Amino acid sequence: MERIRIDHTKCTGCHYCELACSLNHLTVALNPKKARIRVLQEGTRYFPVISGPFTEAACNIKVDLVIGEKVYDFCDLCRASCPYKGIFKDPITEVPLQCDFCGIDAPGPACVKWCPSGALTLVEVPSYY
Amino acid sequence: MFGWQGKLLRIDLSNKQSHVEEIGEGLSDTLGGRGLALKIYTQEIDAKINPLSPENKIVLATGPLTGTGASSASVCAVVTKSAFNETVISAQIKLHFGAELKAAGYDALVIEGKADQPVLIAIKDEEVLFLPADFLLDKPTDEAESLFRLSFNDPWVARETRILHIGMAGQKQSPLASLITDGLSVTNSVGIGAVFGSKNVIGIAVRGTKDILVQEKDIFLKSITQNISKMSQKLDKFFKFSSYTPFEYYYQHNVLACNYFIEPFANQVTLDQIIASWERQRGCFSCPIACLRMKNGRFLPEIDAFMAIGPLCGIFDVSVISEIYLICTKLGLDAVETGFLLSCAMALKEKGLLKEDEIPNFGDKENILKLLPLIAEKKIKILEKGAFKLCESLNKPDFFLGIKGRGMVFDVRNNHFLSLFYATSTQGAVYFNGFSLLREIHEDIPQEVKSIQDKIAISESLGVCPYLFVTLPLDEVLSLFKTVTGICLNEEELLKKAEAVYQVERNFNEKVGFKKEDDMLPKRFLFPEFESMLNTYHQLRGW
Repeated sequence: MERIRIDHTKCTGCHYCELACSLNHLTVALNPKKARIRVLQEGTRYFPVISGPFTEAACNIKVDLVIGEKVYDFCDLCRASCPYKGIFKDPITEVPLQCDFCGIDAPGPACVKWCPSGALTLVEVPSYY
Repeated sequence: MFGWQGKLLRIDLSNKQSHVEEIGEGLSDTLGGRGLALKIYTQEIDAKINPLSPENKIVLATGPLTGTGASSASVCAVVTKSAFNETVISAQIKLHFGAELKAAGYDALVIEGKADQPVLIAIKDEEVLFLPADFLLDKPTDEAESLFRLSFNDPWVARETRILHIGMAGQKQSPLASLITDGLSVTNSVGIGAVFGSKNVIGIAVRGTKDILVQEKDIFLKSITQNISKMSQKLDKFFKFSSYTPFEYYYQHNVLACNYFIEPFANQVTLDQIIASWERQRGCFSCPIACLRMKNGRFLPEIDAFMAIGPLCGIFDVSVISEIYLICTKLGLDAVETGFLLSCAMALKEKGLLKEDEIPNFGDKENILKLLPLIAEKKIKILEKGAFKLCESLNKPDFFLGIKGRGMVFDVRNNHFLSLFYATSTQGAVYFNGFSLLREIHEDIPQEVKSIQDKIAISESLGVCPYLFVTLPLDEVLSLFKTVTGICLNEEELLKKAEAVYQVERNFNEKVGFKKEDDMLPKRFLFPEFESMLNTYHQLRGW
């Protein structure tokens, strides 16, 4: 089984993976906002996050958390890379976008091929489940 | 349209209005970026204008390759008349601002008029808001940025909004003010910060969600993946040493100097010490090289800023230099010109020409740190206008070591190539315009200078970072340009466009009042061969 391994210490924040993903899925257009991998910036670090499998159905009802007087969108707090998250939705149609490894027999995910810093690598791991 | 978006956003601050203009036709004449911004600016503005008047405009423009993913195509040009030395100035905004502006659907942005209150222009695709920015006044730039991001309801949107703003120096309209984008001081933007301040624009925030179209997807994809692997091999040295690549060479050939060129540089700071201070690499949008260096989440100075605030001021401790650079960024001061001004003032004091107590001696770290906020707030009258005006006011114009009002940070007597670069630059002595990537050139210097200047102009027009372009062959860029836009150009046509950029800048400067004689080196740096080199260069350009 192949998986994309993310090493955030190597990420330089160039957003090449987003471009690669969008170009591969939109065919003639580039739009990082429609990519299935997004580079999030937290302070001075960059974290590439891939839109992985959906979380459990119960979660997808979208829970709002109320702490004190403030309402928090639970998707922003959750650390899962779930396609239901706001960032993984198409900005116009709001359709959730999910990583498909750029097709089954394609020559590997485009984001890994484009990544110049080595933050994204394709690794072979055994499948236990 | 492929590559370009074909739209210009005009923002009228006086009436708080904005409208979109179609500029699809004729975009390929100027390519975009620096060429397009210059064309718009020089068509609309008279050269005699006071840069700080409401009639002055600021033009930002992205190139056809910006944001497409072409290697290191991330820059966006900002053109206006400099409040520092009155020439036309075009700075390149790095990091993610350019790509975001393109994704918002615009090739160019024109800011005109003057707002009655401090405003922050927020652009989100078609939507343009004029937000009150009182809460960002007089704050350090990093704090202002995080405060601004906190004002969003959606944290994702806050993270993905790119901002270009000014610090305290810009708000006080100090000529030394520069622009800051996402924590990085914009190279060579001295004199633009004050223009922003005079219009009461504290910053511009952009978020775009639009598509950028490319003509031939398959070839484009292939050439980019090839370019990425090729570049990491070819630019091995640049990848390692970033802008300090020529440091050793400069040291061996006595191009570096200390204490306002009074003493030679004796390797008080070694390259190893500088490299040891680096922690992380940062890349701009779609850049395979990632030449920006960080420590503790702060950007570190590039070589010209390092020399200006370090050795030229008599400071040789890398951590102190980083600290001064950080404070310059927080205040929104241009580190190169501020360092040069301090160095010049300290040399004048040593000679007994300046008596002010505030001015420190060489190497006096504490007082330099104390002085910086005073310079940003324009509290010290003699220092507020930069080194050139300081020397002029003391009736010592020969003491100023620079060209067209901009200071030189390298001793160019020993590098003829760099000397001609500095001298003939249309914006004054700007190191970025003279970047030569360690290459020894002894023959036919005028021709080489012209060809590299032209290459830089092309890259800035296309939206590609000039650092990379110097090593990229023209034909590769032309094929990238063709696959993105579908327009076929040959090398000759491309070079003509670059020459036009220099001609337009030159004409503008001539109207301002700069003459042929202003291309001269300061007397102390003159060497015998220089005049014939300059003449050959002028002949090549037809001036």
